[in-house]
Amino acid sequence: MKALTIANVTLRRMVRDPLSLFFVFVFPLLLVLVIGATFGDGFQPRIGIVEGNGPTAEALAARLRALDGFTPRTVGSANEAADGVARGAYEAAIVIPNDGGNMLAVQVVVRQGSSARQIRTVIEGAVATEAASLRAADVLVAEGLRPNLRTALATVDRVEERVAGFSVVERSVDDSPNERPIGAFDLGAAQQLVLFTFLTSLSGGAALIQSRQWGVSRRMLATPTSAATVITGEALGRFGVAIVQALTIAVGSSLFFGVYWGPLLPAGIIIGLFAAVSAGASMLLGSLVDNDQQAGSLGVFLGLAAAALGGAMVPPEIFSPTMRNISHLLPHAWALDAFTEIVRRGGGVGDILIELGMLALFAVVILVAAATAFRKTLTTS
Amino acid sequence: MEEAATPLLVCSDIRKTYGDLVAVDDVSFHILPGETYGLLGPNGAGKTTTINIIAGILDADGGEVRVAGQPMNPRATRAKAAVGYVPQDIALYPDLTASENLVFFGRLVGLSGTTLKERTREILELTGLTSRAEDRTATFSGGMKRRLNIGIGLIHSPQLLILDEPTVGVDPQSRNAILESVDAMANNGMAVLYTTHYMEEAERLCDRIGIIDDGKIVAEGTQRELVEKLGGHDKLHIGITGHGQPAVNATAMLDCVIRVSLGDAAMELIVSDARSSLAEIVNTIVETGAEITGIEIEEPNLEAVFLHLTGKALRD
Repeated sequence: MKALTIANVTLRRMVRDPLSLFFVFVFPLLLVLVIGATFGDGFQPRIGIVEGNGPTAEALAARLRALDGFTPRTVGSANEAADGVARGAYEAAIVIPNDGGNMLAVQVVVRQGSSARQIRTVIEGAVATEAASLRAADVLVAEGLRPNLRTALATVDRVEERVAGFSVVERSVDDSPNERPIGAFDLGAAQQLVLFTFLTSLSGGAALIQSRQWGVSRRMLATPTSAATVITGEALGRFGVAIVQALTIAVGSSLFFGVYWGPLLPAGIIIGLFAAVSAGASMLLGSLVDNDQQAGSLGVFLGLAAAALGGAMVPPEIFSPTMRNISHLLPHAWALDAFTEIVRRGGGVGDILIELGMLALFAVVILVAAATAFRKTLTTS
Repeated sequence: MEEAATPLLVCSDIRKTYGDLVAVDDVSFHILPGETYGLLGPNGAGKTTTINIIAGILDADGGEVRVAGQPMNPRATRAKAAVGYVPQDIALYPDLTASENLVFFGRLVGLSGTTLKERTREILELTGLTSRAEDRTATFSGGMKRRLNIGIGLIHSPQLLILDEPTVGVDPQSRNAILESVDAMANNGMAVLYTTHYMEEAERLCDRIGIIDDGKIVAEGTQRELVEKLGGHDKLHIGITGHGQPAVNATAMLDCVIRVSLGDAAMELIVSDARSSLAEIVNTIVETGAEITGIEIEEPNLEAVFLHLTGKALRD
């Protein structure tokens, strides 16, 4: 119970500090917001549509505007559309020419880059589908089977619902057949989680130094409280800070952006073990450094460096084999591997035993080193 | 205070070394219930190390400390429950309120529920901080922090209160209030171990004093005992007009006078007991025809004893 009393004070002090509040609750969620708004499931490309004259052109424009997954904007001219795409006002534009001849040459305007290619592919698919329906409707009108394009299109739509069609599903050769389709932010969120959990914990090492500097830690020893209880309490407090940080990101990103974190049990174990590693690192830093301001700066530096090396700042996929090996000297890489397994491939606890074991090993080694160093600061004069 | 009472604190030959440095060298003393014991010594004499051993923060390398009959060491939770420790530096969380600090330390000493609530209220009242109970201590003045620092040591009504320089940096009004509180606690039966740099505090508060230097207790006793043990003498400054030499010669013949000298319009006499021999000395001077313009008695004090024993002033 006394250990919980000490841990409770650590958490209370954290929420009293406006700077801590910002970095624990606001800043990570701001990043989630920015990244989620850019790449998350809620992202809808803005498409400028230049509408040509004539019933076919107008019908195609109307059908494209009604498609799901795009935010359509009506644009006056092809030049205006090109300027808008160049400025970033739209992710792409579709220029529908006036009716005439037997070919309606629809133009798709995009920028260079892989995301533009993806958007172009999606738009081309949508245009092709709608164009096929329009051609079928044109045939019905031309053959005199329907009086006008509007009723002909309604007939085509009804027929399409009844007739079996074809669909194309794309799969990368690198992907396992069992992989779950993931949102663009799903794995980025895991990187945010390990980065901020470790970074916030290391920065929190300064609070332990303050407790020592203020003489509060020693004063605890003068009460009927053993050194082991004080150490446990301080470690639990730091564990609580790390858990609060991790859950803020996990729950916040899940609620606001639908980020998928995998099955609850393995995800919870990964978070718990990584929080234990972070708590140990925080206590170790707070025991080895004597100046709280130095510890704050050092904590940020070490936190960012560990995140960069551990694959939490750039996708680990771009690492060379050597760098991949080096990254696994850090707990971040193991935590990210575990998240990848449960998020992308639907793995359970049994599938990530090695990763969990490594995280547990990191936690034990760092916590024991931290407890030893902290005990030394408490019991030497 | 009864001599037959069982000591609440017994230190027997406690010793602590850091490498070649002997910080505490076979220190022994005891404190009775209701007694205030002053531990005086210059900086680096071993006071704080001794106190840390008595408070159970440090392990002694040798000897034994017993509090309320229980052996004291860093693992001795029963002995620690009898001790209230007030460190020299203000040891509070500045980002917690006064009542949160009291509740936190109250829980660590084993209080809970209504007892903790009641004691917190009482301590806030005792320290005059009731109106600031919910304010963060970072906003407190130095005196208020000192009072709360002491209050935390009292939260569980300990049998032994250890006060390590509790009035450093405190304004005179708060200082006086602290001294009165300590006096009142000792009168209520609490044993107090008190270290200070202020000699007048030791003289005012302490029933017995131990002088520590280089890790050793070099003298111990009541203030009077210490002065007498060291052969302390009173000093008389007597202002005179006219020729002083006959008066010097006449007083030098008196048994009670140990030494006499003549200064600028004043005599200085070293005597064994100024108050009992004053009348005889005055009569002798008047009989020589000199006229007395003023008399000042300077009794030997703790400061002089301290200086004599350690060769250092207390604030060195």
